[in-house]
Amino acid sequence: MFAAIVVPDFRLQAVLRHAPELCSKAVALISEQQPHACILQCTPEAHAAGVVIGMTTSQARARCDTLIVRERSPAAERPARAAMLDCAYAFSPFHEDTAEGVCTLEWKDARLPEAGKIAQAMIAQLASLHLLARVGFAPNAGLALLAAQSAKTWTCIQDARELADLSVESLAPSERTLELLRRWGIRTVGAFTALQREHLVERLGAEAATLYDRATGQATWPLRCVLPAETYEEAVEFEQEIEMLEPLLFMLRRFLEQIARRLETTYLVAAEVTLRIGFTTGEDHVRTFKVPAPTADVEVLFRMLHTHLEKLAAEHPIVSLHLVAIPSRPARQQFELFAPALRDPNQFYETLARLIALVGNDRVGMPVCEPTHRPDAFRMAAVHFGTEKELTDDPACEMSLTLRRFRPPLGASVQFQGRPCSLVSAPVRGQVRTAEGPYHASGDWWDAMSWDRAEWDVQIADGTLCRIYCEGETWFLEGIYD
Amino acid sequence: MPEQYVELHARSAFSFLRGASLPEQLAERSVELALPAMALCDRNGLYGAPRFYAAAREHGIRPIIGCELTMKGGAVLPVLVENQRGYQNLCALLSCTHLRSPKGEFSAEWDELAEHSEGLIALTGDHEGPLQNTGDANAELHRLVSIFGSQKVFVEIQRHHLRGEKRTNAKLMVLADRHDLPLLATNGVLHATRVGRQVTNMFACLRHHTQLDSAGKLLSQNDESRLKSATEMAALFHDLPGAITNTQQLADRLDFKLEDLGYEFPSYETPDGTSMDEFLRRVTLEGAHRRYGARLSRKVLLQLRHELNLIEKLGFAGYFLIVWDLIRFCDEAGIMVQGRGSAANSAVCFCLGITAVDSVGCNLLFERFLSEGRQGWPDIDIDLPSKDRRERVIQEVYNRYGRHGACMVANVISYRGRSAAREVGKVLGLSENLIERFSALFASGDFPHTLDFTEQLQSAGIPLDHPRTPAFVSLYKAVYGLPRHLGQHPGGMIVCQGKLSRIVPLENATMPGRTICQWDKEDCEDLRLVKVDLLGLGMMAVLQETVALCRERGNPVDLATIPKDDSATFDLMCRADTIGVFQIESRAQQATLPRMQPRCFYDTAIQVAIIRPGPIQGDLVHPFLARRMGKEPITYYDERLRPILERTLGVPLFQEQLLKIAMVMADFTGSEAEELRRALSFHRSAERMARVTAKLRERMTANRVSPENIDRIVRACSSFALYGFPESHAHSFALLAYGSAWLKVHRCAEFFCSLLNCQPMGFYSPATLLQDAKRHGLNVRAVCIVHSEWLCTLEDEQTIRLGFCSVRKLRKLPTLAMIAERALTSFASIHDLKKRVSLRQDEFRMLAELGALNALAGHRRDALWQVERQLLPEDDLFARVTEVERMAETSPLLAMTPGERLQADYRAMGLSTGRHPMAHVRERLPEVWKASDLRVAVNGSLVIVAGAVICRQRPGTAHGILFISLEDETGITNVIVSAQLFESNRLMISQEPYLRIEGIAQVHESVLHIRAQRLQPLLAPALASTPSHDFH
Repeated sequence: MFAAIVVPDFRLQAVLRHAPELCSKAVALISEQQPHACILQCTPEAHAAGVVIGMTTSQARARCDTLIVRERSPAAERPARAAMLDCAYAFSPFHEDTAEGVCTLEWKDARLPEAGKIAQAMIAQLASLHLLARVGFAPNAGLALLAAQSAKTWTCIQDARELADLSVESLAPSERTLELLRRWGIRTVGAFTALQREHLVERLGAEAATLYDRATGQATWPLRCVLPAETYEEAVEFEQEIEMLEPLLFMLRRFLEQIARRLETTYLVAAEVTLRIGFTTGEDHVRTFKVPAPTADVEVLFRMLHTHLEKLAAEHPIVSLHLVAIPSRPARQQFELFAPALRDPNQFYETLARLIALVGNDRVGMPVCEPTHRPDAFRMAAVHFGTEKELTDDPACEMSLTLRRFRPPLGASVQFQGRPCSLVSAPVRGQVRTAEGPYHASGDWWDAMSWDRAEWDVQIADGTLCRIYCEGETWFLEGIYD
Repeated sequence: MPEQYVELHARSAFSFLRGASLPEQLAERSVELALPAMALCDRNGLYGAPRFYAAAREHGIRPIIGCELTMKGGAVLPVLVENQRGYQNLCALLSCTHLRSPKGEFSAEWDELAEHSEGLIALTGDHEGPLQNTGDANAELHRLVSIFGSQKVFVEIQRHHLRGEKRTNAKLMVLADRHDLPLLATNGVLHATRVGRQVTNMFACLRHHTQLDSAGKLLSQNDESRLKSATEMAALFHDLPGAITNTQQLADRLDFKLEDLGYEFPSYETPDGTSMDEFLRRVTLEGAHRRYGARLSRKVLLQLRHELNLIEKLGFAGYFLIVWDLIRFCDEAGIMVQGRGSAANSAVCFCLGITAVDSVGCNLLFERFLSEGRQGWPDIDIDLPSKDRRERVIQEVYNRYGRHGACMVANVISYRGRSAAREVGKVLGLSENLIERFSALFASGDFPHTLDFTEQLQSAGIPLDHPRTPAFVSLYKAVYGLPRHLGQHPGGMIVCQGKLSRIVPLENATMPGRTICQWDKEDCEDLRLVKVDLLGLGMMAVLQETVALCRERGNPVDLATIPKDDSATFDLMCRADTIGVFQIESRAQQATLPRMQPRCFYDTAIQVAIIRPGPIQGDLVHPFLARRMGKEPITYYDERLRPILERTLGVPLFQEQLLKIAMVMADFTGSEAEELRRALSFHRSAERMARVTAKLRERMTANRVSPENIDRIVRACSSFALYGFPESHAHSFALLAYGSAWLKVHRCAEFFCSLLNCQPMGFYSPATLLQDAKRHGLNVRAVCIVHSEWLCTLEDEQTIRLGFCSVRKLRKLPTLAMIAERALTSFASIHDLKKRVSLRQDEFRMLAELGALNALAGHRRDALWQVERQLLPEDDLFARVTEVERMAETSPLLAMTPGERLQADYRAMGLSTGRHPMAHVRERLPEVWKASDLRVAVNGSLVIVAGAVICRQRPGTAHGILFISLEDETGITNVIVSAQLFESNRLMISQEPYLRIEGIAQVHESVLHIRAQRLQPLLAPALASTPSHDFH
């Protein structure tokens, strides 16, 4: 016996999973990839307001001014698809990731007396993951898929003739074939199967044979069963909400021990660990840890997670924990004689993680110059070892003296008469002997971060050469030249 | 002594996607900054030169012409024009480089520069210049000196308050010193004021296909590339005063004036060596005898003598003969041709066959066309049948004058609502969806807005608190109206004695076989280049086709001799049954015709002229119609104007009348009237109009005209500036309007058949034309594989057979081959057809779907079933047997329902020979009035109408009111939508193909409109749609 789970309007549902309050509103999904975005899928409310698949957003809004438009999100579709497979796995180890929003399961028994209960359980489980699904049971995979498409919630059929009224689109013809069938006036599976198979093949090619077999329930295929994921997962939904760190750590250690044991038996190590913590609000806290030196050492992995969790302030009680480890082969490293290399990358990254926990993610790493005119613009990039230092080709840098910057720049008081005459700041003060400038620079005028400044290089009476600048009415000491 | 500085390196927005200011803005800013002169050096062209020149002259600064040349290797070299020779060399260099390069690319050869260097001064440029862009600056400078000579090379230095530029400038100074060359301070201007920097940043992004967020160092570092005053520049270069004074000295050396182009109109080579004047007299007289008969009246003779004398005096004989020669070419090639515009005021043009209006008979004012005071050349516009025939004439002009002797006039495409929003949105990184929503508000083009810009944003769903909204608004406003790229004028051509490429730079048009100059119509006119407009007119093609069809069917017609007082033709006009008729078919024209009740040819001319923004804006339409209907007494502003305004019941409707009024009431001379005419037709300068109206007022006050009348006359003049017709032009168009109306009445089948063959053209879609044809009793038969030709044909007096040309995406050449194959032996079956014809499968499918193959199959789906069957190979042993079986086979598919047939027809052709789509849903709409029933609607009653939207118009003269035309199976209903209602339903109105509208019936002087109160989309699967005529 086979079963098919179908999540209709899968892309839309995947997007709305995290915004269930929108499900009862007029919502349409578009693909942002296209220049004139067309409606891909829409809620029944939008459809009732006259929104039709294929319309442009403007046309749809002309029909329904309350229409909410959402963009397609492959990122949202991936977990939704995984959730379907997880659900399928819970009911049968023989399950297939058949297509987008479609999953087929097989039981070796010819009959399934509990089909109704199974279907309802499946639907309920997917509903809890915010996916509305339909389930169909049939003696073969193809028929089960059609059955699921014809079902309101679930159905079990034995013969393809029961599906005569099903839309011909359910057979998943190619766009070209579907267009031809429409021109022929063929709208249902019944009308399609009323045509002779050989006539169809003669006109539509080999695809027609496939479609015909599918429509008559003769199409079946050995399931390409999905192997357990290439990841090592452990998950639990707590019976009681957790508000303390200890029980969480206890469970984490057990998860890691299980995962480590499985990794060891396959001679693999964990290269990446993803921690997902579910809160009562339905929200998750997800954090992925790259393991600098992949390992299966429980202590190392545990310390990494522990360091992070110590600084995590959860506002809500925790209801679930999900840990995923991505394996890799153990790295073999030959240390070079003169090249500096980290003896214990894990230790180093653990230190970095502690720093990040203290100062924030955007404040730890290696500074990388931003390609902009904004002076001293940089961002923090992840630390990588072994890469060559990039040489700058900025002519200004090439000829300039070394500037020791104050970060942030220091406030300064400047007497200005056509040029700076005197400078008073914490580190330097005095009459300005010579001044070069102003150098005007401004940018990001299209943004809230717009900036505009006039820089001067000044030499103080004591010979100190420094860079000052004025932004608005305020002066700053930016740095001192060596 | 105050500093003297001249900016010698400025770029305008005509350096496409580089400069941010219009030439006029640069000139105005120069005046504000008290600069005595300025040089415009646009990139690879002189695109902005005429506008800059005119604006600079107007503001009293000295314009200098220059150009930035992109040289081979990538360096950008600015050159300035020293004299006429230099100008001509620059044009020649630009032309030859452009003409050998693909459109949009330019790379001048150094040796060609050397050949064309005489009369040019070279600057060394900025960071893109040869000294800073290449490795060996010394060698580059040496090359420049060897090309131009040491007296004509200036080392350019700029100071933009940037780190690093001091060192660059120091190197340049060393180089200048080493080569003993003068330094020249410039500011490398890209924008007139500081704010222009935003636009240059946007353009930098567009050039590099990136967004502001990721453009980084592609953007300018500051806004110093603006126009600066002499004081600012002197302060910047306080240590190099010579670099400043050199600008003044160099500017003094550059004495080229754009008036000295050296342009000459080609002379005509007379066959017998007589002078052009003598030859013109001879051919005019011969033509006069053809037009007026053997005996010429004294009036005609006097007029011809007057005109010929003036033509001789002004030296225009060659011009007339060249145009005449072109007309002769058209006649010989069987191409229908007719002059329009002010040329129709001339009896000489009439006799030469250039125009078809008897200016003597119609009492038209010759001075409107040509007068002693007139500067520049007379304007002769020639209407030709659109498409191929017109192209033949254009290519003939190229053949006669050569690729370097003739060109099309350019048309500058500027940033407008949609294009500006799209590109601004793109650089700001707004999503396509957001931009699309905003652009959708502009529907098919720009139209006047009754909403504030920010409200428009809101109605597009763009929140005002969006972080990018302020930048969007400011950039949109800054970029709006700036030139975007160069297009092609619909028909303007200029020709030249000698090489035109030395007068104005030429370049390749996008269209193969065409070249364009870098200036637009107004620029050419300002610089007195003679333009001949070869305009394609769809109606000329229709008339020519109709006449040919009538001749073929043994019922010939000569449009020149049809009676001009045909009552049936005027009846058609009076009942506004004018769909398909030239000029008087639009919604607004149809609303006026029943009130106008035209009964003679002159009425038709008035009708053509009256629905124009000029008369409408001047509130002249309603007084005229009221007087015509006897509801208002005929009065005159002044009794002296009676002879001028008598024919138009005291209301000025034509430009000539306004000129005459000015001459009578304000004692304007011919030249002053000409100045007024120029101001009226010159759309760009409100200032120019203001000047001439001030003069008009002053003179009329001196002539003791009452203040009230002065106001009326001035208001009429001002409104004509918006757009008013010359009477002669109205006469020319009225000939076509009357001719087409006559044909619609007397050769209805031939006329509609030709109309369908000449699509796209006119105001209405083929679907609407077809519905109208049916209302006139014609049968329209569907496309048929057995009977149809490529074009629509007539099967009998009442029956049009649609041609294959009506089928979208059906290729012409294979279809013609199929028709030829059919002529040999008719097709026995669809299999036979497929075997013998090389159409693509999708084309066979389309023909089957629209019923064209029904003659070879039972019904459309039978045909569809059969065309999908694969052909068996020729050598298949069983082919013969199978073929017999195939012939006998019927399809298992059900025939299409009427609704499905309609959908299929619209999908394949955009029209249907079956019932109107509204007829299919009529039963479901018992409360909706049919268009034909509305004639009994009571004024003020509430009615509901529905139909296909065939026209949405929001004229600038209507204060935001929108006019919608709804078509159903019985006719057309006109609906008026208030500005407020439009704004609240904007997307629905502009997007929905069918509407259901509740409103109040308004019947006024036999004209019915529905004043909309509530709009809804009309949704039904059976409603197939056709494109609407929107916002034109």
